[in-house]
Formats: sequence, C-alpha cells, structure tokens
Amino acid sequence: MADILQCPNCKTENPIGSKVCKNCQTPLAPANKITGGFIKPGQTPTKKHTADLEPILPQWLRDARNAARGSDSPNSMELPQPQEEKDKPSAPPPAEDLLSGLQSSQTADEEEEEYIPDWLVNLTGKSPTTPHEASSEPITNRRVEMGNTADFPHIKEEPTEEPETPSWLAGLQSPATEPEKDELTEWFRSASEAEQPHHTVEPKIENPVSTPQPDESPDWLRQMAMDAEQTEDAQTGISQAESEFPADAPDWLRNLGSAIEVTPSSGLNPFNLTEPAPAESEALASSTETPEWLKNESQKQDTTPKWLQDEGASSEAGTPAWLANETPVQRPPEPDSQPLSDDIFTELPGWLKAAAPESSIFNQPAKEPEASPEPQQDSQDWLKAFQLTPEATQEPENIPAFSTDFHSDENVNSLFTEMPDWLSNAMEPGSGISPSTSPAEDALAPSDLPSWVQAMRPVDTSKVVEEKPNPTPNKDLPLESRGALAGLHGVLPAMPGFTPTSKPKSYSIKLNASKEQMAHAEILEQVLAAETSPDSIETLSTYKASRALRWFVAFIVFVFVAIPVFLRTQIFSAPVGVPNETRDAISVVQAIPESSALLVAFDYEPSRAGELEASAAPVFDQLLLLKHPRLTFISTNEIGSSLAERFISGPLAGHNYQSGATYLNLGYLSGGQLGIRAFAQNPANVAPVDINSQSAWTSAPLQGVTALNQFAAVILITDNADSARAWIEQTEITRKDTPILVISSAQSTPMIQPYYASGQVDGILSGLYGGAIFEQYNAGRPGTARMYWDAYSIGMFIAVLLVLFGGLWNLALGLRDRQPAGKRKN
Amino acid sequence: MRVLTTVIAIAVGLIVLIGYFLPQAEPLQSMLLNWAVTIAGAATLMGLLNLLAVHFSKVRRGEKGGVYSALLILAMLGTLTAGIVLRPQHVGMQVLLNGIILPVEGMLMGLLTISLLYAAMRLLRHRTDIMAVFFILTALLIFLGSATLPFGDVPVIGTLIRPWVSQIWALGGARGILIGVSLGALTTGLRVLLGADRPYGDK
Repeated sequence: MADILQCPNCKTENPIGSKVCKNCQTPLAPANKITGGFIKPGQTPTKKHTADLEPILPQWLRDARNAARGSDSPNSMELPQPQEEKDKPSAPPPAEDLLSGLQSSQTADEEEEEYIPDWLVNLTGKSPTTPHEASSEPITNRRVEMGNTADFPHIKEEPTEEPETPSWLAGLQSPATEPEKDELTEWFRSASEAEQPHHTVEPKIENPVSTPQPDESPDWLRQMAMDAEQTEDAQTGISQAESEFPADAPDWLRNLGSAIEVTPSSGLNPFNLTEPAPAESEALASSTETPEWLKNESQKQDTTPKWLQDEGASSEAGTPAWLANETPVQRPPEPDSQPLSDDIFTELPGWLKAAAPESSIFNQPAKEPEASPEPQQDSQDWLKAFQLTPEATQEPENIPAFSTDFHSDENVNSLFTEMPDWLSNAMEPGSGISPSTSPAEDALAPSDLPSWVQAMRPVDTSKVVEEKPNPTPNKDLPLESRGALAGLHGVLPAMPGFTPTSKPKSYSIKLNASKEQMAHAEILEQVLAAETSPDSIETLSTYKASRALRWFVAFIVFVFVAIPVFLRTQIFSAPVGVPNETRDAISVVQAIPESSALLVAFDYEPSRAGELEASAAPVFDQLLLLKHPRLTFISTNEIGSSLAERFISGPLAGHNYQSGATYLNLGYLSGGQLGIRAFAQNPANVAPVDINSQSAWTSAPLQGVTALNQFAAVILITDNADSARAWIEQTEITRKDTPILVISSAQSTPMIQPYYASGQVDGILSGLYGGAIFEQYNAGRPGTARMYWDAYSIGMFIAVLLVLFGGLWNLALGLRDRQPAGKRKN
Repeated sequence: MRVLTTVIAIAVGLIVLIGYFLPQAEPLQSMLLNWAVTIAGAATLMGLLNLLAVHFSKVRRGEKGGVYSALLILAMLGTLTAGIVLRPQHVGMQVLLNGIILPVEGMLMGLLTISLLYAAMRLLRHRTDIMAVFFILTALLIFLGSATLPFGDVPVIGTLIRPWVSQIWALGGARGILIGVSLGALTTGLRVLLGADRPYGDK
C-alpha cells in the first residue's frame, strides 16, 4: 500500500501524491519531513526545514513557487501547475492546521501540473525544480509567519541562486547552503536593506499578490510591476511605494502597492491588502497573461513559498523562525513599530520587516517609520507596493490585541514584564503602578513585582487621590478612586448631577436656640409635667386598732352591765314617757278577745332573743294571763319555730301552754314574701300540719280558723324591718281588720314606724324600752324588762361617756395629726 | 330554653300580679304561690346539701379549715337529725338551742356592740366632718334618751329630743328608705315581668 494514502479523518484511501482527501478534503500529510503535527499551545516549536513544510503551504503559494521554478524552463510563462507529490512520504496529519481550509482539492492532473515558479523557488532557497520535484516537497499547510532571524540566514548568503531571477528577487534568494530557507527571504532581506520599515503590511500568504515574480516571470507580471510603478508615480505621497518598484517588477505588484497606498486608512490586516485587489485585478486584466495561480488561488493547494512556510522552523538556517510559528499572527500596525531588521533580511522591504516580530527576527534596533518613504533598491522596490504609508500605519487604536511579536521569545517575556497597552489603559493612573509601556528591554529588578502583578494589587485610594493620574486615553472621564473599580476611568456614567459618593455631611442634632427660647421651653416642660403628674392625695395614716382600748371598753361595758343584772338592782327608774306606738300596742293587746286565736310570727334571730323576749314577754304574759288566747306560732325563719318553743316554755312557762292544745307551732314557712302571701291567702293549704306533723287546722288552737282574717290579731315579733314589711304588706289585704302588732327591736323600729304612721301597723313595742313600759301596764310582770333596765341604762350611759369622751379624744388626736400635713401642704 | 324560662317567669308574675286585682285569679295565684313555697323549701334543702358538699369536699381535700368544716358537717347533720327526730319542742333541741345557738349568736351580738362602740369612739379621728359629728351627737342623744336616770327620764333629751329625733327625723328617713325600696321593688318586678331582667339564671 505504498501508493495509497489513507485519510486520517475519514479513512478514505487516496492515491499517493494527493494533497487533500478526495472525500473530506482533509490535507493529506505525507510521511516526510513534516512530522509531529502542529505545535500545540505551550509547546516549543521544533525547527523544521522549510522544504519539509512546503506541503503545508497554501496552494497558491505552492503554485507560485512552482511557477518560479518553472520559469527556468521554456514554459516558464505557463502558470505553475499543480504537481503531484508522489514522493512525498505520508506524514501524519498535523494536529492543528489552521490553514487547512485554504487547501483546495486538487485533481491528480492539477497536482501533476502544480508548478512552483522559480522566483518562489529561489525565495525558498531551493533550486528550481521540475514540477515533479516540486511536488515531492511536502504539501502541508503552514502557518505563514515571520520567522526568526535565523530562519533566513541563507538569504544573504545566496543572493543569486538563480540567474534567471530578476534582480529584485536575486537579492532575496536564500543561500544555496541553506536550501531549506525560503527563497523569498533573500529578496526580502535585500529589499529591506534599502528601504525603511514602515509598515505594517501583513505579508499573509492569503494575499497572493504579495508573491513577487522573478525576472523570469511572465511578461504579465512584469507588466504589473510596471503599471504599479506608473500608478505610484501618479499619486502623491505614495512615491515611495512607486519608486520602490523595480523596473522589472510585475505590474500587479505595482498596482498592488498603489492600491494599498490609496487606502491609507485601511487597517493593517491582511484583508486590507485585498483592497488593492481591484487594482491588482486591473493590472491582471491588463496583462496578457494572468497567472493561473492567481486565478486559481482559492482552488489550489497551498503553494506558500518557503519563506512563508512556517512550521518546524528551527534554528537551522534553512527555515526562518518567524515562519516556523504555526499560529498566524496578525500583527497590528504600530506607529512606533520598530523597523524590522535582520541579519539576513537587511534588504527586505520595510513592510516585511515590520510584519516580522520585533526584535525576534531582526536584531537591529527599531527604526522609526519615516514619514516619507525613501527610495528603495530596484530589486525591492516592488515590495514597497505593499508598504503602507505612515498615515496608514498610524492607526493603532483599532489594533487587535494580538501582536506579531507574540511568539517571539523576548516578547513572550514581555508578557510577564510589560503590561499590555489595553491593560495599562485600564489601570488607575495615579496608582503608582502604572503599567509600563516601555518595551520589553526594561530590566525587571528581581525584587520588583511585575507591573501586571502590581497592577492587580489593591489600589491604595489615598495614594490614588494624591498621585496624579497617568495619562490615559480616558483621562477626561472621571476617575474612580475607591472600590473595586479604583483606577478606572469612566466606569460610572457621567450623569448630570452625579457626584461621587462621599461621606454624608454630619449635621448637628443639637438645637440651636437662644437662651430665651430655652427658658420658654423649660417653662413649657414644667407646665406639661404638671399636667401629667398626678396630684398627691392626702391619705390618712392607717391607725392601728387599739387592742387595749377595745379590751377596756369591753371590760367597762361588761362590768357595768353585768353587775346590775346579777345584782338585780333597780336604781334607774323605768321609762316614764310612753310613745304613741307603745300606747297603741297596749290598746291592741287589751282589745284582744279572750280565747281568741292569735297568730304570732317569730321572725327574729337568736341573737336578738334577749331583747325581744324581754320586750314580748310582758305582752304575752298579759294576754295569756287575761285573754287566754290560742296561739299559733309560725316563722319565716328556720330557727323561728325553736324560738317560739323557747319563748312559750321560758318567760311564759308559768301559763302552761301546751302545744296542740293552747298553742300550735306551724313551723317554718318558706318562700319569704311568697310564703307569707300564700299563707295569708290560704293558710290551711300552705301550713297544713304543725311541727309534729299533726293536722294543724283541725286542732284546738286553730279551731274555727281557716283564714288569716279569722285570727284576733297578728303579733309579729321581728328584729328585721324587711320581715316586718313583708308581713305587713302581704297580709294587709287578707288580714283586713285583724290588727297587727309589731314587737320589734330598737334597731328596726325606725323602719317600721312609717307603717305605724300609715296605719298599717296598730302598735309597735320598740325593744326593751317598750317592754319596760308595757310591764308597767302589766303590773310589772314578768319583770324581765325591769331586770335588764338598770343594766340597759348604765350601758347607755357608759356608751355615751365612751363615745363622748372617746370621740373628743380622738377628735383632738385627729386634728393634731392633720395639722402637720396642713402645714406641709401650706 | 332561655325563651321558655322567660315566658314562664313572665306568665307567672303576671298571674300573681293579676291575682292581686282580680279575685277570680286568686285560686291560680294561690296555686302558683304554693308552688313557689314548695320550690323555695326545696331550694332551702338544696342549699343545705350544697353546704354539706362544699364542706365535705373541703374536708376531703384536706384544705385549711377542714376541721371546722368537719365540725360543721357533724353539727349540721346532728342538728338536722335531732330536729327531724326530736322535733323543735324536745328538750334536747331546747338544750341545743339554749346552750349553743343562742349563746353563740348572743356572743356575736355582744362583739358587735363593742366594735360599734369602739368605732364610734374613733370616728372623729378618721373623719372630722360635720356629718361625723352629727352622727355622734345623734347617737349620744339616742343613747341618753333611751336610758333613764334614777329619777326618771333624762330630762329634755329623753322627753323631747329623743322622741323628736326618732319620730320625725328617723321616721322621715325610714319612710324615704321604704319608699325607695318599694319603688325599687316595683321597678324590679316590672323589669322581670317585661323580661328585661332575668334573675332566674340567664346572663
């Protein structure tokens, strides 16, 4: 399978010599010197022979080279035909082939017809070969870049490799000892010796018009050069380019140079170089013969001349280092770009030198571009067509970030030592860490931090404020002095009224008021405080209960009251005055018929039994003695029935009243007023039995009595005004004319007297006083009231004395106690 | 239920009230009053049982004063039993009444007397105003008018001032109080009859 090449991509078998896969158009890298693939980022490019890199050249460049080689032959006018590279060993496809797309599919015939012009061949430093030989060269894409200086050592040494080459190319021929060098390097060098670097033309391999034709170039090429010279002469300010064209420079070169110069504002990129294409096309059209390699540039394979061949450019003399780099670098035009200088390419036109990496290829110091182009050597004048005017070069503002010196060793170092412009512009001007725009040649002190590192350090805003801002392109814009964006210009929109943030003004919270105002405020505060503050209430001091006084009083009362009782003294006279209610009561009693039924209600508490029994005893004694009534006891008090029994068996024991015979105890009448009302309406129904559960209304005491009004009288013994009121009010209607006699305590008599005054009550005996009076009318019988009267009177006098004197004493004490509080209040 | 109770209360009240004015409603009034007497008696028993329960729970939980509650329960039950069994005219009941009930209550009344007397003595120290003075003077007059001297009533005070105070001032005041009470009772009755007040359990 030696004559078959397998596509590394689609595994399609292609005949040997095929440059691209017929299926997927992948460039087929024959096994030749081009090995190892492309350089990957981070890898050090390995030097390779330029001749080995020819397969990676673009087709148009290869064609140009073939044409140059073929110019030696009689058929030099013919366009280089694509040659088949049968002998090219299969090489592993490059890993990165950025220019692979430039390779166009070629047929076998085209490959066979591939022809490298001699001038290209001369540039590459190879002897012009037949198309067959040319095809033996590796056909791989190469990234055309400016190589190192060492890449073109042979250019100077071999100025005239081919006698057929025009003079302007002769100088550019690479030395024979370094066939691997690009043929173009010599003429580049020779061209640059005579001219000043000024430009910035990107000698991209994409620009087919940049390939010069050797002297053996077809007439059309020469014509183009001549035309270019003519157009240059016609234009002002472009004389440099025009004069650069040698006489034998192809017209297309001349036209190309003029076109480029016509557009000075064009960017320095290879694409701008295509602008002159119309002029070039005109030149081409004007020429009788158009090189096929120009027409079929896009279709042919990479015919990059060796000087443009990169990849594997090593320190060997045959391969310029600037061509050895893979990555195509669009070196932006720099106004201060140093002129390219190289030991080898001293004759190279300036635009080529400028395109080359600074100080990487050419060790010569940078030369400032001249405002006016200087006349170039004849052999290199045509190259001036590619030079841009200084005006055109002075547009660095839009330069892309990447520069052609990116791959140079020194420039690589500058990445760590120098701050790129784009970064330096973003730096804070006054930080003191301004990025250094000085070239890489600034020595970096071992102890100093790199500028880019320093630029990343936190910005000292205080210093920033103090230091003057570095001139930056945005110096007119406000500078941010704090925060993460410190040092940047124009980070905040310049809004009207926008002011940088600052510490807010501190306003004093102290009220500025005059003395008079403060005085008024104090007065107001006092008034408000007086409104809200509660007035102190004078409270009497809590007097502690005098236990001794209480004991004294108790002793006095007990002694003075008990002695008369026990002694049964009768010192004090009985009451003389008979109140009216007492008199009427006496009358009622005396008016009660004999053996009449009397209803007696015992509605008093046991605590009042002494007073009330003393008060009622004379009445019942008289009644029982004189009237022999039938008594019926009833009570609305639960203990009343017992009290009745006590009463009948105590003070009235002498009368021998028997229950059920002479008196009847109906017991407890519940319901209060309702009970009284009910009893009053139907007593037999409400209290049918007595306390012995005997039928009461059929007994002797209640014989002939069925209603309340059938009683001769109702005698109410009570100590409660409410009970008296209830009996009086509830029995008034049913009682009708039955008199009601109230024997009450002295406490409740005032509340019952209205009923007496209204005639609802027929008589009232008020406490011991009334009993004592009634006893006088009863012959002093039983005598209980009289027995208590002395004690009662003494007790009254004691009470009067105690209250009088005690009150006066306490009054004085109270006045004395209040007197200091009054003085304090005053 | 609340409406029913209200209706019953109002109806009964109206009937009883009408019974005062219409003799024909007296039998119904008497019946309702008899029912009220019976219910009141039952309520008294319920109160008694509640008292027993409270004090019994107090004794059961061992609260402070549980001993007194226990004595109370015993006394209550004993008295209840004695009264039911012996009846009030029994000697035992009389002993119980004469020996315990009357002395105890008489003692309390005596303490009340001393306390009132002591309070009257210290009244002017706390309140030195005309009303307090009138109060004290009135009390003194009554005291003096109620008592007698060895030779008879206290002159002027006992024969004129005291009857005048009691018959005029006290009577008038009492009458006013009674009128107010009567009016209040009337108003309360009307409110109950109209359903404005529901003292029978409704909030």
